[in-house]
Amino acid sequence: MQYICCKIKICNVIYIYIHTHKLKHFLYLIESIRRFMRFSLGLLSSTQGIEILREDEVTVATYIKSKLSPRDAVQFDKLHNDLKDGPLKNRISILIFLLNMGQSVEQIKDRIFSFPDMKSELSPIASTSGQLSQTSYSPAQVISLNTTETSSKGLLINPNKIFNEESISEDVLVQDLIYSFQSVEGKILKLDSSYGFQIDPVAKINRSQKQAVLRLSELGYLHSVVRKGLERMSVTGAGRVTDSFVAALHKELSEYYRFIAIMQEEVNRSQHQMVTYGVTLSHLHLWTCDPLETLKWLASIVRACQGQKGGALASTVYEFSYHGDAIVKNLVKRVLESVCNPLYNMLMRWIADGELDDPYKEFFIQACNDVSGDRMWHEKYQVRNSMVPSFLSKAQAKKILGTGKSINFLREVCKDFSPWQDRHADMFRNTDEEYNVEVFFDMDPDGRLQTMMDAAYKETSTRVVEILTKQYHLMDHLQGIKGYLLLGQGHFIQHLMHLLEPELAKPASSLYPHNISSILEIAIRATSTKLDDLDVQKRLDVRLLAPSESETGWDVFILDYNVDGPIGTILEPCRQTYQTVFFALWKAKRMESILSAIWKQQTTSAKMFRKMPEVLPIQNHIHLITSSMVHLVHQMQYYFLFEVIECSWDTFAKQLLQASSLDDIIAAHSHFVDSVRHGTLLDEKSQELMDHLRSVYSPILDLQNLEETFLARATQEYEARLNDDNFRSEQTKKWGRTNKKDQEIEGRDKAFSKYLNTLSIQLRLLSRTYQDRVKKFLLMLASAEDVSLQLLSVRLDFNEYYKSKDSRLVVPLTYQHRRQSDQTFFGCK
Amino acid sequence: MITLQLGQCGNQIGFEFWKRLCAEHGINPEGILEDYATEGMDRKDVFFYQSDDEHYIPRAVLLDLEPRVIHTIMNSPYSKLYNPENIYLSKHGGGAGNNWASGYHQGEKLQEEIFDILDREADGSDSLEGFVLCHSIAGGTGSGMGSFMLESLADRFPKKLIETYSVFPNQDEISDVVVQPYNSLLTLKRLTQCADCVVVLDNTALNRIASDRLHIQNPSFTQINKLVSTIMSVSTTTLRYPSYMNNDLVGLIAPLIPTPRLHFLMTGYTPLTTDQEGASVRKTSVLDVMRRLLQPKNMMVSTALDRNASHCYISILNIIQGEVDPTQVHKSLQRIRERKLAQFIPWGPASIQVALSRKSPYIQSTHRVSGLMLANHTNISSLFDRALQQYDKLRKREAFLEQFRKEKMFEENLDELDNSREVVEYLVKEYQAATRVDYLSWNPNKADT
Repeated sequence: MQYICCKIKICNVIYIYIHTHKLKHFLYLIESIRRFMRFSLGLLSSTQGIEILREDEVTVATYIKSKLSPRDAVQFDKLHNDLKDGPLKNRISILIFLLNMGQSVEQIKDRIFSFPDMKSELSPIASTSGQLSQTSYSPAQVISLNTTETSSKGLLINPNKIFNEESISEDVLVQDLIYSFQSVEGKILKLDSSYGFQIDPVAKINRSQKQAVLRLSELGYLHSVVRKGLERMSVTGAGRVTDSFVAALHKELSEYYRFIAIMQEEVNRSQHQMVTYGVTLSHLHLWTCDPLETLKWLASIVRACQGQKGGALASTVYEFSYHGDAIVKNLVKRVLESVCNPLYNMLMRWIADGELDDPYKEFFIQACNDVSGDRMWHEKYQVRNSMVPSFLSKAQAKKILGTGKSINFLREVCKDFSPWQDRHADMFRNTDEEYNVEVFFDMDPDGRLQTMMDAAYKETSTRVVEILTKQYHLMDHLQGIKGYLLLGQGHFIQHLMHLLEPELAKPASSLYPHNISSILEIAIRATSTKLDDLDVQKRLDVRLLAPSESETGWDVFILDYNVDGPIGTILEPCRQTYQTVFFALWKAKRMESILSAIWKQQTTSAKMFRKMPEVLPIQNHIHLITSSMVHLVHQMQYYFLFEVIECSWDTFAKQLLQASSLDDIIAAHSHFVDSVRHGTLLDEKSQELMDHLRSVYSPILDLQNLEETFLARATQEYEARLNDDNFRSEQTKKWGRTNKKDQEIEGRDKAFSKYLNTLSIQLRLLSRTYQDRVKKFLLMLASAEDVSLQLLSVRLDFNEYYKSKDSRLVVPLTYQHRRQSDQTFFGCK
Repeated sequence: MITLQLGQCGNQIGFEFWKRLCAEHGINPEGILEDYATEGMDRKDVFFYQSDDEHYIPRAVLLDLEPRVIHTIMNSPYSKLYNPENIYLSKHGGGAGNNWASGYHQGEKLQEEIFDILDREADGSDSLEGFVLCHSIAGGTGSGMGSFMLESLADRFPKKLIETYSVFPNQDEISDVVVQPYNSLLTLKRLTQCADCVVVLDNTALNRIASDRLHIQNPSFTQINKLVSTIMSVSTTTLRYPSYMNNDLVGLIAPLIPTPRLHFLMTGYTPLTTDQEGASVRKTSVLDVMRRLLQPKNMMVSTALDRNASHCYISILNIIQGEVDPTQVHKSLQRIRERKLAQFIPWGPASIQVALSRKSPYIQSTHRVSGLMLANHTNISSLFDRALQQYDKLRKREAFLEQFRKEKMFEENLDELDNSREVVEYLVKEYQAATRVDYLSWNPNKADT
């Protein structure tokens, strides 16, 4: 009893100390001191251990040593020897005491509601601490509820007792407070609107008591907050994470109820047995110290988590774990563990099997069910940003997404059900037991979960890449696209153009896709080296754009490449771009082909017209215009094909070799497509340039018309003259010249020379238009921001022919300007 | 593409050319595809066709008036390669006696039989683009019969292109063919008027390159012909290994030849090595190759020193083979432009065009990059100038004209010779005019006054 009295005194002192210094750190320090003190008291008063280990000092020392690590054992030996030299008498008892202390330290650690201590404080009958903590997991809630009910009934029997007295007795207050701890209204303490407790104004309580009661009633308030919060959260359909959060908090609360039950028991006992010292408000103060702290945390957690669910909830809870106080940290950790458990399970299923088991939309990966096929990879699965727990980084979330996505991709799109899947899943199953939920939110970058997730990501990604390249011949398709759509197979394109020429010259509305398709097939057959992938060729297809009036086949024809399945995932999004690029390249190629035709006709017809010297200047002129056009078209093509496509392809091929996941491939591919699109002047920025390039092309078509009519006219004239010559030679032999025929010839000669004159003017005009346009184009290129375009301008005017003709071109091409661009150009290397 | 090989020289270089093509395409001397070559991405059908038993047969017609060279070919391992029906030997086998007129007339007489062969070949090709003619311009058969063939090809196949690989005689040594200047001049007229593209192979320069660059003391015909076959095969790689551009003959020569008469092309090749000299491997880069190609000493045409400093390039096409990074090409062009290594015509846009081509995977080369230049340079006129001078020397003395007078064409007068001289002179003038800004208004009719 003496012990206890002095204990209570100490505790009171400490209590006051706590209230005066609200510093948490000190509180924690003192808390632990107090605990150890309680334990030591318990231990000293118990005789159990001593009886067992009374044999001798050596045995005890050996026993202790066996529990220590070798280093500590040595240390212990040293200290033990020191002890022997010292003045202490009860060495054995001290050793035993220390041993017991050591054994029980772990058991203290996890306790928050330290009600067993109160027992030892209130009654000497309390059992030893060793057994105490073992009881802490019994179903306490039921007991506490029962006790509260019975005791409240007991008190309701004689209500008059309270109000009849002058001032209310402490017992009543204590009882009311215990009720209030469970958010139950008592006689004096009434609930107010915000779950707080107010003292019934009717009741007369002295001020110190009033304050103490109000202070204590905070516990009840906090409890209500937690309870109400949990009630709100535990609606059906709130989600698994929320459910397990609620469950975890209920578990914490049940500990709290146990504490209340024990308190109630103490109160009851003190009333019934008429002990000298009843349970006072000070007692309550002391006892509720720990629970108050815990409930405060629980309340703020619950408050913060209101309306949250899934990953977001986990994030919120995780925020609280940054706390120096080990008790708080442990508490949060317990809650977090159960909160993360459902998430962890979902994660594991996702990584292992690619399945989303998420009816309440809590997981940080979401699926759109109506997406399939080509779009699947891009759209079906997304990271749900709001649900990414804050302990996962964006990159990790992305990786996790990629892992499951790859599995689904393999299964749904690649139809790959190889046994590898099972092996993979097995790996997870084995590791499942090893990893507990804790490693999930304890995101150690080198941790095992991380390693496993990385490994899984790597394995699935590699698998996808492997399937794409090996089984679905990704490279072949890309080569095919490069060969056919990007004109890599020049001879095929040439042949196709040759075959299509008569068909495409027709108005666009009179074209039939099947005709053109069959021509395409002929072209493919005629030009393919046998070894070309048949699959690639089968995918080539003809598209005709919707024709508008006055358009010819040339304006609507497009070559297309059909893709599906896994390859489609990569290629389908860029299909449109490929088509526009093809259209532009095809147009350039057509210009080349027209010019080649003009050149060839001129060259071959020159032999025939040798006898008509007057057409020579015209022919020369046509030739010169042609050659300047040929020069431009060839240089432009060279730029597009080699410097843009081939260079981009080079980079692309390198990236492809290094690609370790489908996303890498997609990124590399879209980069390739973008740079091709940019380089071939088809992106938005180069719109103006492209338009102008088209206007540069248009004189070529005009030239073709002029050249064709000229050829027809000249041939006609040539043949007429041949006839004339025959006629003349015949006539002169017989009659001499006839006037009529001569006049006819003269008239025709005149008409022809007149035609030649007009043609010559037309040609000059055409040449001027063309040159002006080229000059403008060069100027535009030279003043473009892009260095490669500036250099293209230089290339197109390599011998400074246009520059010498147009002073405007000199400015952007000055040496200094060019040197700058050179530097940037070489700097890029 | 049908290849015609005429005369001793034409057949020799043709033989080397086919040997090289077979090696590049992995076709063995019997015309059968080697096992290692079945995976090729090349187009064999440009120069070969397949017989019913999968043999590859060259689209080649071999013509000669004397049997020596053709017999050598028929005794070589490649005898089974050719279609025997395409080998035509004149029955009397006496040759043309280095006489242009004799060759021309024999060609005239044999034309029916020859064109039987040509028509058959032409019908057998799906899309015949043109003819390739290999011959020399100095001898009798190659020049005389070649001239006749040029005229009749232009007549019978007016829509087809005619490209020739013409060997010009060595002017450093005294030829055993005394009438060589006559022969050359008469052939030059046909080359100017009937051919669409002439690749000039100058024996003078080839010999010089062989001795100076390859350090062979007395270069044999085979060694020279190896050089020639290299040029021929590389100049056709873009046709045989299709890539983005220059995949047909027009596409190849149209950018090179702005006006129809200026179609005489020079060539240059680097790096040059022989079989013996594998040890001295130089480091080759695109810039190196392109720069070296512009050096006159690598040109396979010997041109007189620049009397007229204004001589310039009308156009250049560089065919670069090997491991080429396309970005390097641009860099090199930029350098060349900055240093003004090449002078271009002032009357139109011109530049160095580059064709990047694949290399045959079956021929191992020690060099990473190699390049062939096809250039249209006004300086080539000096070659014709020289031919004119030599002709004039002989003509003044009325030397060796008896042989010519024997033939029908020259029985009455020697107008044909004078006429040819005129044509060649025009050509020289046109080349000179092309160095000037006012080429656009240049008119051959006015120029002769």
